[in-house]
Amino acid sequence: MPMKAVFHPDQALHYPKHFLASGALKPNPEQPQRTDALLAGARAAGLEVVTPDDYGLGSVASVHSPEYIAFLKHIHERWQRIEGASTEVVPNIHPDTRDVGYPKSAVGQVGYHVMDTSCPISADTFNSARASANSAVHAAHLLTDGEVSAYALCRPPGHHAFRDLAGGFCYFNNTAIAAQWFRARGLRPAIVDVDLHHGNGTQGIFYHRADVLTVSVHADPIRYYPFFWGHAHERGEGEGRGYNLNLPIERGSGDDVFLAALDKGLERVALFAPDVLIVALGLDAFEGDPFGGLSVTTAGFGRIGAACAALHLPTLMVQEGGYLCHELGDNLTRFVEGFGGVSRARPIGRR
Amino acid sequence: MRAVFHEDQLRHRPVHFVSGGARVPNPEQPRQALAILEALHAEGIGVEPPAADGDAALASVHDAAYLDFLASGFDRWRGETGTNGEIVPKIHPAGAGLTRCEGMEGLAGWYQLDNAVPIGEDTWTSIRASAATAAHAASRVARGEQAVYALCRPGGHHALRGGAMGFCYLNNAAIASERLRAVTDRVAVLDIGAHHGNGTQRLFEARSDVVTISVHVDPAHDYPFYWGHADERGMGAGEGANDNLPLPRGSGDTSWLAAIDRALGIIELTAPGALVVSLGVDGHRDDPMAAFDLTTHAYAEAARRIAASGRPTVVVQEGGCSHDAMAETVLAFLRALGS
Repeated sequence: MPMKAVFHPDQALHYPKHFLASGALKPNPEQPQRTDALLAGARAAGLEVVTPDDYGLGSVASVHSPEYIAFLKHIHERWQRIEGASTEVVPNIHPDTRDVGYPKSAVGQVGYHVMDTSCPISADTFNSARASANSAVHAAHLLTDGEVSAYALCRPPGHHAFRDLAGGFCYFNNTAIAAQWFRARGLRPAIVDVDLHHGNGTQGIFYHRADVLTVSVHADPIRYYPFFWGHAHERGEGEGRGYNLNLPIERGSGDDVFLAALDKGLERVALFAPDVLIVALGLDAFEGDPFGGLSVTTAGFGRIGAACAALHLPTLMVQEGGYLCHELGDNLTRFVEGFGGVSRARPIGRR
Repeated sequence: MRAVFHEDQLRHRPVHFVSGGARVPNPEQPRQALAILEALHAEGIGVEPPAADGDAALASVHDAAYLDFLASGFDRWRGETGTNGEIVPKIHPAGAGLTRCEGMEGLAGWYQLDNAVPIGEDTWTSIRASAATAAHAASRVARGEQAVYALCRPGGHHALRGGAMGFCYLNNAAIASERLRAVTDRVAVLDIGAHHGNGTQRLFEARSDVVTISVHVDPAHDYPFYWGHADERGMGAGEGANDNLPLPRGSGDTSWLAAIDRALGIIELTAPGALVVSLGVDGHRDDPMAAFDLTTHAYAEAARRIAASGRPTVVVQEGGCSHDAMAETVLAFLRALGS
């Protein structure tokens, strides 16, 4: 039985136009055409593409605050009532702490719930983000139903979204929603994030918890997005202290440096002895990705897939970043092939 | 009455600004200060430049890393981004950030909380001169003068210990307050700008030796949104030493003066040795942002009531968009304060 790729066409409706880089407006790289390339890559790896069921808002609400969900659902319509407003919702002013008074105004709420200019909100954003979360939950469901691995083609991506904050092209944290789905079924998940950028939202959601391990390999944020998170000294807080591992690597690093860091992360995962592994699968560490932050090769993604598979755990792959370039689909294909050649995992509950 | 001003304050010419998600020209330009300066000259009020006394006054209010960002940031930004444009933030820690980074694009978001405070080549020169103007005016009052006017520009009351926002970079009113603290046990800041003086509040919210009172448009629907609500009353040792008196958008002279009376009543009870007035005249009915419906008369009347307290007073100019009545309103305020 081939591994399944889960995707809903509504995920391609969201079409952000701009973002800000070094003070200048540039075209937003999180384009809907990414889904075409990734679907082709999944099919080339032999995956069977299926459409997710609608799991309702419950799975989203298990991670995100109802205040934030209400904001995402209604803000585009409210924004249009502002005189001279832009077509897309983008933030202007931001609070310095999370415990400030909650503003009634649309402009105030946008700055409270959206941390950067990379995730503009249009009329389709809420529905696409919901469909993306459904794909993650559906793929998680496949695992609890007995499959040993599944790929959720999540787009918009999720790993920069906190419980009540959108950022970096992300609105709902698909990876965290899947993790919470497993938790609700008594399973202990570990998350390994291999995206070019630190998975700050995922870290933030589980930062005070010991029941979900979060590990991330990424370009050093000291001078790189997301800047304020992803540093090695961030280890979790309270109950969660010691349950978060950041493995920042130098900008421009290639396969060997990436894999050495990943091995450390996977060793930590093995010691957590989870029931299920979630790979937050960004493909933007690729040497030819428009972001150009790291230099992982197409063959390198095969090695990354094989390294993850060597834990022999039921594994959910959740798509994160990875932007339009000729090899985007190939990189996914190689990851899946590298993974499939190694894993001897058994289905959840059948050890 | 004496006024203080330095011509370097005119050099800052911000370009970037965002309103309703759309990029529009930054309205905080030198013309506002120039109009006030002209009115001061016409009135025969003497204007002196601040004495050079180093940056100690800045460090009394702002954290050193933030000052370094303001002082050296533009050159580093130019080097890192390869552009000649202003420093503009992209991503913000939004209160959830854990670690300050080193890259300028990240630092911009760490220190610039909104899109009203771009940093250009001359920004540091101007904000430093504006802060020196406030410190100098406070020194005059500390040495016994009854009332001195600091023509600060850029304004300051939105600036945090380590954060620029709302056209403000350095908190001039807080700098004046610290200078006055050297000669008296307690200082009160009365902020009558149309928008809440959130920076001043945050700087002193845990202290009882600087009492902060602000009369402003209700932030539920107006800038700065997250601060200035009536339930923010200070914390720790400063609990009860901060009062916010928000008024509905469009309020007129009568309700505004009633709030000023309440504020002065609170200040009387704390018996401060000196008063700092953050004077924004952007509540005037002619202001383009039109938060209130105030007349020039209301500002003059507020000044008379402030003067009646007899406390030594530093008047610190805050922001406000350009309008015909702006200079006239400031003058009416100063005239009534000095009479």
